[in-house]
Amino acid sequence: MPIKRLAVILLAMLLVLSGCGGGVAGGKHISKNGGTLIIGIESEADTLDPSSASGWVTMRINNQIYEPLIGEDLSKSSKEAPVPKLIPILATSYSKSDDGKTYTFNLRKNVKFQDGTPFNAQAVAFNLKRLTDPKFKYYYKLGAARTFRALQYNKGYKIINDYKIQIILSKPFADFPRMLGEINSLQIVSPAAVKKYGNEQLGNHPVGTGPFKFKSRQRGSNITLVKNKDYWGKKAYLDKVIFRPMSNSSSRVLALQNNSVDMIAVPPADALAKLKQQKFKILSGTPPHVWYLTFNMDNPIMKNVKVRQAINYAIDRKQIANNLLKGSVKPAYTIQSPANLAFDPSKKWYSYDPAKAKQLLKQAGYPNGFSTTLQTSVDGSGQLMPTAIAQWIQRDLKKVGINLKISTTEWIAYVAQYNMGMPKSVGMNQMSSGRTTPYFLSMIANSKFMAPGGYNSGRYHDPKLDKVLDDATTAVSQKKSLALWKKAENMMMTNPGWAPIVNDSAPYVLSTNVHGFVIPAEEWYSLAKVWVENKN
Amino acid sequence: MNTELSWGSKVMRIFGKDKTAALGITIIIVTALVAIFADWLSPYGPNSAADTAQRLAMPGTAGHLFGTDDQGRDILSRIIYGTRTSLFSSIVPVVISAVVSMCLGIIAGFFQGRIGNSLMRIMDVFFAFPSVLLAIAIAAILGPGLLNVCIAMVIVRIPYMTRIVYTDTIQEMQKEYVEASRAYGMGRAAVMFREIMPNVLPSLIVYSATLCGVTIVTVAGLSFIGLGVQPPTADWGLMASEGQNVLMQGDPYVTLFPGLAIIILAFAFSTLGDWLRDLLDPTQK
Amino acid sequence: MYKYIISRLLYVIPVLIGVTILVFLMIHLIPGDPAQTILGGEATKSALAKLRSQMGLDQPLIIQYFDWLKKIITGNLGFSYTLHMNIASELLPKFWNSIILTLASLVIAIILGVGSGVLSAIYKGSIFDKVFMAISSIGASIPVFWIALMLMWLLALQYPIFPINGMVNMRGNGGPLDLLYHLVLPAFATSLVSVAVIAQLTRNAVLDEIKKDYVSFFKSFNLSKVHINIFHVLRNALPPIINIIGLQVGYIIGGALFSEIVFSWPGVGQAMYTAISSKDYPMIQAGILLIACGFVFVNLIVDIINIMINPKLHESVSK
Repeated sequence: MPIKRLAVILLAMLLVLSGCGGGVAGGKHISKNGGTLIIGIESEADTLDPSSASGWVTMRINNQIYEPLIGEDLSKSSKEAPVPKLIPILATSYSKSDDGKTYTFNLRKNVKFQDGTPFNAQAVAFNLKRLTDPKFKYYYKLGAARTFRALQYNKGYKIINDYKIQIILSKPFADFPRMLGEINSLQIVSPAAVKKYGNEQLGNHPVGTGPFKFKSRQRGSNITLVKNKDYWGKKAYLDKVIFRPMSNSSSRVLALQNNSVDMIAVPPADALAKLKQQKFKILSGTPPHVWYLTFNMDNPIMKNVKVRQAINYAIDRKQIANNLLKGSVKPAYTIQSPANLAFDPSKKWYSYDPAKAKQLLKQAGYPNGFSTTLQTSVDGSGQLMPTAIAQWIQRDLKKVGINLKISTTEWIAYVAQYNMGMPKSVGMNQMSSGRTTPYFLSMIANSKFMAPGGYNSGRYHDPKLDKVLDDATTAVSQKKSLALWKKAENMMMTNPGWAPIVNDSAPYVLSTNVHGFVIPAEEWYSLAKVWVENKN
Repeated sequence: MNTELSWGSKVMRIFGKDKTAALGITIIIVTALVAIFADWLSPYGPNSAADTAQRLAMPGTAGHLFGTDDQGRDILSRIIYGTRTSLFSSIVPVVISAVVSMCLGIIAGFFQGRIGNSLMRIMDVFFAFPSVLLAIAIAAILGPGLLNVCIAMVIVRIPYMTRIVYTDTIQEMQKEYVEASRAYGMGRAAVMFREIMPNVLPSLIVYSATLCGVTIVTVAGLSFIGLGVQPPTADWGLMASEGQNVLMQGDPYVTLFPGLAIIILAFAFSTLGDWLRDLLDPTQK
Repeated sequence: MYKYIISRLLYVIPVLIGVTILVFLMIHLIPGDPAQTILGGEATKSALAKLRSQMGLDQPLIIQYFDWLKKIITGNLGFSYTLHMNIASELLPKFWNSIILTLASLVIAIILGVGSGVLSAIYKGSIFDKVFMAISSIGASIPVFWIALMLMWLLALQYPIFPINGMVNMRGNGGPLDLLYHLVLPAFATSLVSVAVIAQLTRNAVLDEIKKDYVSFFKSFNLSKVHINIFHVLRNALPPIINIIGLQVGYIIGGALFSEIVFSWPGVGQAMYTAISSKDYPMIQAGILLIACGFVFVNLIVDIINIMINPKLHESVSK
């Protein structure tokens, strides 16, 4: 893989460069401080409220503004750390009780929100109540619904002193610390801002503790952040970061080529060769990403397991990965996402076999196939080229007699629709997701996360599986939990509620003057250590 | 017998004199034939990629005269199949709205007074919208799809066509034959549709032909926004839209050819309109 | 004349009422529950009930309409549940951007269309006339989005003279020159079809005028051709030309929607494009209302200009 090799070389060069302390590039000593970084992102972002904002594209922005108590170390590439390490952020340390149900956090002192109000145990409590206590004045229903998978076992909290707080769980949820740093979780927002603007409007006036603070937003054009000069930790190098939503992948490439942006997400696979030739830096990693279809278990046709298996056999994932996407992604044969401890790439289900698919359809009572609908977005983070891939799948399914109708929606609205589940008439929908914890399996398959509201959009319901998933989630021994996750994975693939299609490598393309950008084994990144040469 | 002869000679005369019209009419006939015989004419199916490695073949590549798109589909084949949706989505809505407008316009013109006025005032409201905007609005509400686009086009065209019929009807009403037929004791309906209609029909036909061309362009625009025909159906507007990505990577042909097809067919309809006007519309003489 | 202008002004009122009724009904024509449609996927039962009573969906339609009208007049265009914000604060700045693009396109259409139409008429039968008229008879059939894409390919990609998209250079300090530079391609793409139509019709209007007796009469006095053309023919051909331009305004406004989408011009068209694909109906509704109102006022202005230039006209127009 020449691209990968190049990426590794570039990464190595980058590391050497950024390791040079003062930043010596081109022979002369330059300051890392200052400058503007403009990023071409793959779709418009959702609201800038970390609890309710859906989609990675928004998390990548929110992650610069807000911080969790415990989070992932995003300064290491996915090569160095295939699963990101957990590090203290707004908590300096934490401890877990023996029964695994009580977490005690020592909070960082002298931290101020970007609006000047102090961060302390009361602020954490406010955030907890906002997302878990329906009786609280500032309870935020949408945020609560979307953070439920992280905070489902939260029973209460106890403020020990201004800088020490205990969070009490009903079950020993081993992945709780990791889930704290995940998307739609407990990123701490300023209580003062919530009181001032209200829950619904916080997203238009975001205030957190992170290294960048919100400046302005013009939808369809830009979201501008500026350096938080009062940041508690090492301050960011950049003065300003501008996120420019450009949902057309080719227009992102053009913007990069004519220098109107410094960095772009998800270049179209067809452009990679040319970009490489033009000496742009192409980085990629192995984030927890899987692009998959979810079958609608309420749909009469999809209820039949043979149909779901047939569809899984009928899709030529290799062609999609190598031909349509020019090898920029890998075919996915399991729903478990990479970049977590339970992921085993040697485990494969359903390699391409159209004859078997036809046979299964015949057994299922559809010798002449059937018609059904696939819902997908037109753009969005991790979605690659959703319509092009969907059309490819459409053609593959046509070959075994299935007529697929594609229904498309813009990303942010699509996610909202996704969380609501599918109407009976729709056969399947599509999503890109994944987590750095195997808990991901529970999020998409456990009946308690069923749509509407949850991430189990196909309303998959298997009490036996639920039990395995819950046991894996709350198992105290890691070895036992890993075995349970693998068992769950096997159950989920043999009676498939999903058709995994590809795993993305989350490529980013950077101008040569951008340094210090690292793609961690996560779907978002930190811009705190990024700096630009030739500032303008 | 006599009229037939003079009609035939008229057709031949104008056809022979007006080379542009001859070209336009030939284009329409050829397009219609292509639409009918697409299955025989097309080198590939509209959605079949002969070989998936053949993505983005340049025009002139062996076997792909116009090249292939980013899904490896033969552009020529898709243009051939696209004639179907293009002809359908332009002619059908125009014919339907012509029929509806004929009734509305004659009724409004015949009973001027309250009925006519209020009908035309309602139509006036529609003129307050640029027609493309109105089409987008209706299609956005109804949801994407060929049928809904056709409905939108019918609604958008009716006010314009009704106004033409209405104006013509008022002119006709002042002529003697109307009064004469009323005097003979003809019923209102008979006067409207047996006497007046044949006289207002020519200008409506002329306008319809021109509108077919405009409608092709508008429908293509709706497809471009994503409100029209849904993938993978071969549709010129949709193809041009899908070519955007490739265009920005430097190759315009995926967008170029379907666009040219739209322009050529729309142009053909507009020359047909001009020709019919010379032929039918007495006001032009 | 003033009587006509006043009656024309008054005529705007029923039209605007009609427009608001139509736009209001829009959201009620969507199949299904309007509250569900507006809230989209995320709707909970209580939120639906709240919105229903907020929208007054339990009230008779006529009362709902007047409530809605009251809000519109006070500048409240509704709330977008997809964007979590007030539509007015989102859409009004974009409306200005759209006006900039539309006006620029109109200016180009007038200058190029009238100019080439007049030249074609004066030099009737010349090569310029023949070639230009052939081009413009085809030009009227070109989809705006297609010509926009082609211009982008030719003048922003193949020969990178102009910026590919956007309205300002994010790195620069903006300024009118930067805006103008970004404006060129979208404005040209929007106006080209109208240039063709205006040119054709202007040519006919001028030719009609040249045919008239007074021209040959003046010629017999040895007045120079240029003099006759400029001072008499053009002045007399002006009213029909303005009429033609007025008719093109609608096409330009419609065309600008497409140019905005192709060139990512942050205007109402682009916002509506996003709203359509996210099924954000309140936003679509507000966008259509804004554009339609703008169109009504532009028509008003064109009519008034027309009547001021040619006061005789009002007898035939005011019916």
